Amino acid sequence: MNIDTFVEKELQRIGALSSNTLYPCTTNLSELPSLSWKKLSVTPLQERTCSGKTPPTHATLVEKEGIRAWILRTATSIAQEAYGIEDSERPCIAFPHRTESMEKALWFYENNILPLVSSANPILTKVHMEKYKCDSFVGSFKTLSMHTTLLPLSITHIHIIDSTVDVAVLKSLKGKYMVSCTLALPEFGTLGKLDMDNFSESHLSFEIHKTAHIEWGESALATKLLPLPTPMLRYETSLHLLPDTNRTSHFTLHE
Amino acid sequence: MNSTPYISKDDIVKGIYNEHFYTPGDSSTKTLGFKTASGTTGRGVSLVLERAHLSDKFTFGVITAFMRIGMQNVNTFTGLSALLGLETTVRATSLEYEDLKNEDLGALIQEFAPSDIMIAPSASLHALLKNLRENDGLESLSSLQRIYLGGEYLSKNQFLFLQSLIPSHITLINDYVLSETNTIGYNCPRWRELTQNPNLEYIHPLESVEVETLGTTPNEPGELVVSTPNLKHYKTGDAARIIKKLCVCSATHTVELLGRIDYDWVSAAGGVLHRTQIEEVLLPFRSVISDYRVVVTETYGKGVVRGKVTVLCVTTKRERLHLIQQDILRAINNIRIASTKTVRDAIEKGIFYPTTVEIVEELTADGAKRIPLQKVVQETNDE
Repeated sequence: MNIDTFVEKELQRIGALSSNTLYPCTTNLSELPSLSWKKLSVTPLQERTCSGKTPPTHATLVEKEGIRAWILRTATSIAQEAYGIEDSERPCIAFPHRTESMEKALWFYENNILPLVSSANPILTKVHMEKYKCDSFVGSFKTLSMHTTLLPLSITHIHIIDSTVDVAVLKSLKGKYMVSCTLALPEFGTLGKLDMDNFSESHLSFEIHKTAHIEWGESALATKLLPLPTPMLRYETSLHLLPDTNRTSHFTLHE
Repeated sequence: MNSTPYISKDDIVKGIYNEHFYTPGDSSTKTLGFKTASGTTGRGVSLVLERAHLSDKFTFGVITAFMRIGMQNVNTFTGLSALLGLETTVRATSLEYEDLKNEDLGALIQEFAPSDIMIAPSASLHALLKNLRENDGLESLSSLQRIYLGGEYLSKNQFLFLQSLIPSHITLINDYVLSETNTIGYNCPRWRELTQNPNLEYIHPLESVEVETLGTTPNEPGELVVSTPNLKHYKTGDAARIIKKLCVCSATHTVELLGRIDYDWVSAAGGVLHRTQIEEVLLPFRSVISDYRVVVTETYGKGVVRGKVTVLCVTTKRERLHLIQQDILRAINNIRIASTKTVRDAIEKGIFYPTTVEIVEELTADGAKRIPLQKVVQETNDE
């Protein structure tokens, strides 16, 4: 969808909701100030939520910079994310916070894949991964590190969804598993999928997800091209993203 | 019942690793995940939550808030099961203890407009209601039809008190639930009305559940043993009497719950004390104390729940009593009542009243059962 068309429609939708105080009355993306996590999270929930008449399906709790806030999602918007996950029939899901695990579980379910959500106890998780013959592990780098040595033989795929990249871990997994790595923020969703065939410490290139529009810079601004209960327009990612000079459909992540 | 052996929670924990006693549901292709709950023992128990397990329980939305020790996974999977278990549009999320103090809680509940809230222990419900009252959020409960408490022994008075705190359109339900087996039975409102003893609970077991008491004759109290489709002859650790008499609500069996079988576990104001913890801290004093009883009081007053620990000691010593009391006080206050909280922490946060240590002449009359740990519930007019 054309970014300007989306933003115009989205701002009209938001503007029609009297509870909104987060976004100013404008129809132009360039006139919209950037949105930081701090600003978003300190705005009362009712004033930053634009559900309209449809209640949200789920609330993911996000904790960043010492602030906890709920980000509301609908089943539709969750289903429309793409985490670069293919060929997964029975994933085991493990994210640091349970609401994020629930959200990812809902994504799989909406995409007709039955998930198994892990326990905080990796040993019990292993028992159940074996029992239910899980073929893939889906989590962040942090949760992966808790389970790596306990993955059963049935696991053939590892899918990492995180706001950072640990190149050393990816290199250690490559060759043993089919690995995918998606750059995403729990409050925003997917930004892009890592090119696993060509990555290094100094070169991390991601294919931009179709639902993300990115404005490059020291702190890239991202707009989620989905009508969300918690709209993400010109959101400050705190990530240093630049366009990939070799491919217009990609961006690179820098320290 | 058949010759399946009687099993306890410890057996289930071992069974997870050797699959000896634990039988997952036969629709394993539908399994969403598994929950662990330490319950009263502090040890993890793993079991399976089927996809459709709770799908007939909720109408259109649920918020889960299980705050008891070791119930965090129960929180996740109850919410997840609800989220994925219904054919119609549904919504679900789960809360943690810190969220009960969040100023946005009322707004979240309002946005979600759930039909059900599942919350445990009852102290968490108090905290939730307190938050909503203080932040003008009680209206957010307008969509709510039911509040489910879980797996906590509540006397009639405690239950009625909680019910008085919630808006009248909401039904408060305190089914008899075990983490290992889910719902065993439901409280019968008729029995609650008729009972002369406000400290007992009366449960009708579900049709799929068989109940018996261990090693006793009918109508005599004993340890309650339950058998469900997935778990046979499970010793609950609760003392009960089974009344086989038709109830006016047409249930054929009633379980009269008397409390914990060996009085070794008490919960109050969100904390849990084990008899073994107390024994451990009082062991160094065995040369000066000949007997003791720890009374844990849970007080309800103006929407606030607080706990208090009172240690009654019998001693023949007459000198240095004050110092002995101080040492015991320190030891008791160091006891951990939650994963991140000691008795002292709870006192400092105002959740518990200060601990007291009293010297008494006698605790147990000759021939009477010794009760090392006891819970008392009180109402108060204090803030």
